[in-house]
Amino acid sequence: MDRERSSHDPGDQPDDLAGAAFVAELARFRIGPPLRISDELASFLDEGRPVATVAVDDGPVIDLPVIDLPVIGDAETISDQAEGVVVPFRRTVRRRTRAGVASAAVMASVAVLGVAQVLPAAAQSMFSHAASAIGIEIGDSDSTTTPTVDAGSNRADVGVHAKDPSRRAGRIADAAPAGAPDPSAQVGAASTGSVEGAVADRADLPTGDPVTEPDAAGATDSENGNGDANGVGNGGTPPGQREDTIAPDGTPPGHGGVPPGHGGTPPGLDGTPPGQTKKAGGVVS
Amino acid sequence: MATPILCDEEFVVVLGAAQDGKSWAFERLFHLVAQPILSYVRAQGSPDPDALTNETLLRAFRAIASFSGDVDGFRAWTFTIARCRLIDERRSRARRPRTESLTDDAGVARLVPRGGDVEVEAFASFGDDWVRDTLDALAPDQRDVLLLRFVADLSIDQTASVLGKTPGAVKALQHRGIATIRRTSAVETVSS
Repeated sequence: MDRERSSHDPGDQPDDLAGAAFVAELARFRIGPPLRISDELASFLDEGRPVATVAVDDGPVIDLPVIDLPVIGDAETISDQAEGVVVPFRRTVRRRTRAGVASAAVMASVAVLGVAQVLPAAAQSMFSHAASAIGIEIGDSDSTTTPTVDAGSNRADVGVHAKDPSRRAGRIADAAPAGAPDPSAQVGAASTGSVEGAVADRADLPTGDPVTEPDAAGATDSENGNGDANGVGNGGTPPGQREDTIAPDGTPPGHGGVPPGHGGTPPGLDGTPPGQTKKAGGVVS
Repeated sequence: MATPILCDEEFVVVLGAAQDGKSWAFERLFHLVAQPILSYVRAQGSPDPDALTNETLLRAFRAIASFSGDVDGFRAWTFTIARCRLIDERRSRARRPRTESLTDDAGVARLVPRGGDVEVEAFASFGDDWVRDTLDALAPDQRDVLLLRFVADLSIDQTASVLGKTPGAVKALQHRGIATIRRTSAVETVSS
């Protein structure tokens, strides 16, 4: 029997001289110089987590304590404090839609996007993408270009514009619970009103076949484990191979692919549940 | 600095307040994990342990709303963030051309600050070198386990959570790490 192994219970403190000496030396790391706290961390410790307050056009002032945004003062303050801040926008939208308050999700998007203009370009791009996923475009009251913040009045001029009325109607209606207020009315009240009347009757939505036509090798998206064309989570069996074939590296049959029901677009972004495909017109099949 | 202890009941209150954005709660959490994280990243050889610790804490505080769990879970969570940042930092460093400073100040962090008794400094320096050499001789997994266990003072379960391994695997890695140290020390003793 291995004497070394039998004399030492794995996980215990070392009971030999060399091990104990080394652990004692390691423990000296704990008494090194104290942390030099950065200004950013110091402000967290002194003032707590910032809370966003955004005024959208002439609508109500919206407080968003659930997301990490800088305190809104004037445009200059926003620019100073928002630099480098990443807002968990997607999570906010998803959480709120799951809670069944679809209109609040749109309101939150409006408010966040009102601040997003002062964030780095990459963050703005993320917001625009997320907004697009729920079928809206964000701009100011006159255009879809970009929201503006007026330094004098300390207000954000944010306009919500329907990107595709039928698509937007389908997404928001899917998320809204029975009896919830009409999302379009909420958006209209809080913004320029440009989306009023944009919600179509769902019965009028175009329908189509699911995107399950076989690819060049005869495998469908579902078999490959791919999501829809816009989604993430690809990485299943390469085109031209089925999961039950032996891979070139010797992977046995049945291995290496994304399991059925996985790999689709994350839920909540465009409403497509993972692993499901879309019909033309944005209807979830 | 001794790490302050929060009981689970107290931690629930502190966590709730932090999730509401209260500054005093962030301060309590800061004192709970800041120094252990700093010690850990310093022991891992980070060229700028202060910056990495600051960044780890900021990430944790910004994402505090998404955390749920007890005080042990919180410690494991923050160390997971720290370890991920360490890995990012190493990858980033590997992509950049390596530069060496001509002064000792910019070298790998010393265990204890210099200044004062020459004899004490000499012994400390010898200890530093031995620890560094010994750590370098360990496999990365073993080094991770030993530093999380004996520098960060995490339990077997917390270490397993940070590394994404089972507690049994952590125990085995610790055992093998100590065995490696024992062998290394024996060889050094014989050769000297």
